[in-house]
Amino acid sequence: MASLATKSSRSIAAAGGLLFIAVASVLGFRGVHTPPAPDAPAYRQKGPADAAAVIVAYSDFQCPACGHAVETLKHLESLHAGDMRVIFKHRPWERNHPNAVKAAVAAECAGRQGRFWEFHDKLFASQSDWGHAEDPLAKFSAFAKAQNLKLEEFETCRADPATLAVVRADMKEADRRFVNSTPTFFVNGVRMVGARQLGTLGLKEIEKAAAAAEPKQAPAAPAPKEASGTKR
Amino acid sequence: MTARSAPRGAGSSVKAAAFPLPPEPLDLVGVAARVAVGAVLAYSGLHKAAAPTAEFAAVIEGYYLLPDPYVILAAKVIPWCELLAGLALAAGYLTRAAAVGAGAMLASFIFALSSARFRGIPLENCGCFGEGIHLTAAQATALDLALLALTALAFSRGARAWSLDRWVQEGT
Repeated sequence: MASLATKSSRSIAAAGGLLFIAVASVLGFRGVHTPPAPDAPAYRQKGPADAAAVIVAYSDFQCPACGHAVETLKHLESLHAGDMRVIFKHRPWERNHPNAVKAAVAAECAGRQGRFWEFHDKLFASQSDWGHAEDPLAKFSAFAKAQNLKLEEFETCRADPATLAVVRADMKEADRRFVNSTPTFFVNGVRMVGARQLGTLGLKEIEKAAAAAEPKQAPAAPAPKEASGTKR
Repeated sequence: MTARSAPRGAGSSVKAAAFPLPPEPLDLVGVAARVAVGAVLAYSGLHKAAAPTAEFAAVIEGYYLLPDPYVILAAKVIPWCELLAGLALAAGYLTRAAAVGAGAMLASFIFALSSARFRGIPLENCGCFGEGIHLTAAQATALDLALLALTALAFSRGARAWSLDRWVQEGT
């Protein structure tokens, strides 16, 4: 009996020890994550300032999955244009995508002339043109020219180390937020990775936020019973 | 005196049969196999369990095997199963059960990787180690097959030396 009791206590101690090691190592490895901050230059934001859903997107212009997610994001915008605000953050992966930082800098410079989103769309639509080009800068200049940007200003901005510093600051922020793959989206703070999660879980989050915001927008007129039961 | 000493003697012989001393060379190979498989599983589980669930969920989605409602659940559960089975194997705790669990996981990973290859799904990174180590589908399949063979060895000989199972059994 004594032997059985000792065996049981040793067994429980072993299980508890292993469980403790597992939990402690996960918590230690995980560290502390800061929540996403919805701050970025105004030209990198679109949608109403008081939108019910704020989507912070960490993206890389040279990443194909990020290109696919642009379509999903546009689809969501077509469904919930007034309910969502999109904030773009740079997270280029320099090791795998050698031209991604240069593209991010070029997009910043286009943004300073009020054309960030047009340039963003062009970069994603033509990834195969410039992604592995030896001189992507010439391609970016051509895109800038096609979008009627002031070329001299664009080139000066691109050569300015301060522009690169803005991109690097976003990259550091992404690291602090444990953004390990792109595209990563935070829809009202809820993390989603890839176009599929954005299209399914993201849509649900936006619908939930929009539904929660509805009573605030029309508090004066109480809806008739039939209308209050109607779902979109 | 005789009546009291007989059960003790019988108990000792059962123990001796379960854990022969000193361990045979093949037992040491079993221990090495157990520790190797356990370490790999624990490392991969730790990387994924510590990372945000959405990231491993995106990896699972890439295999197109599970319906959407189960993807997040699988992304939460699988890394912890790997970590716990890996630690149990490495430490030699419930060695045979841990080896069966590890073997089942490795077999399911091999199935998922082979199925993706068969269906022509391009996997740049198998996602086996989260963001820790990147392996192609072919590399990951080869690794999993090797680990599965080692798991069989761990199942048959892994608990006979330097294991928590042995420490628990010797608790007299």
